[in-house]
Amino acid sequence: MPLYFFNLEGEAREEDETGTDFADVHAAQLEAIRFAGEVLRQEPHRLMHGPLRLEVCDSARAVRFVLDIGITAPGIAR
Amino acid sequence: MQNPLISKLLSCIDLGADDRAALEELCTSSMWRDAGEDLISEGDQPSDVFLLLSGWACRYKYLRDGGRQIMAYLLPGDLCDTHVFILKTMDHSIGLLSNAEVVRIPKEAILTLTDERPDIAKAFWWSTLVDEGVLREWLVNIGKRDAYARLAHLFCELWVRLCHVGLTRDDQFTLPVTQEQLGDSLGLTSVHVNRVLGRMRNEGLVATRARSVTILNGDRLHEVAGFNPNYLHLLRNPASGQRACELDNL
Repeated sequence: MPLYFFNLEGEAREEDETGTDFADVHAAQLEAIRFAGEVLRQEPHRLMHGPLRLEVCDSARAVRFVLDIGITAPGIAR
Repeated sequence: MQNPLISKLLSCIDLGADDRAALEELCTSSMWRDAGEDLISEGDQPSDVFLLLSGWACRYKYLRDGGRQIMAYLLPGDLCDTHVFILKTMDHSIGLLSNAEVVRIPKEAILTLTDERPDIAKAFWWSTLVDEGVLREWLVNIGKRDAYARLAHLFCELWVRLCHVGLTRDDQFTLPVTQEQLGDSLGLTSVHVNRVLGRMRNEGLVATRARSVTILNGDRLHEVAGFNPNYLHLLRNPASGQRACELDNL
């Protein structure tokens, strides 16, 4: 099964050094959404300090897809 | 090596020589079973009690969508419910995480033992209450701790439990569990388990090799987990010849 790397980027970058196997890119996408959900639920403060980006790369370290999560508040200056 | 059931029960009560002999007698015919096999499955009628002499098992349940939750790890010395034969059917399965040496104890043997030997009956009650304590702590773990603390807590618990049956080597223990199975135990995706394991290694808390964990900084692991071993109800120090199982001394 192909290996995918899940790198988190917020205030700092957390590089996935080992990766995890998934059957295909769709399975990796479902896992990425669940994983991002866990991070949001368990570390909600992360989003208060700016957007969170989950970048998923394949075994050649090429970016396959990205989840961008952030707060938008039109009209309210930060 | 001492029978792990006896080592475990000695954490509760100082069993006399005849009680120990009676427990040894239970374990005379053991069998080897393979990783991945169920000792008993959901829906089965439980008639005997399984005891693990070596290897690991887990209690688990499959959901309709194919997801699995692991609710407990059973380690050497653990009885798979001392009085399970009272129930008509199993509400969950017990499967082997590694190859294991198992004893199948007939219900009559358990009943005779608990009728005739009050200290063993007390120790079996203790063991059942400890199982409930562990389950409560796992509920707290999954419900309220973040992923990093969850995994740290599990490592602290496993080290202490294994130490009490003489299965830690200094700061090291065997962990015959895949990342996916860890995720199913902690309510986390495999990717999240991988992330917190990586963080734990980078911060110098543990080192992991194939199927083993070395605790490098017990103090810090303890602190990250908010670990308090009170729910394991270890009333006595482990069997003679072993040092006290205190994680923060590692």
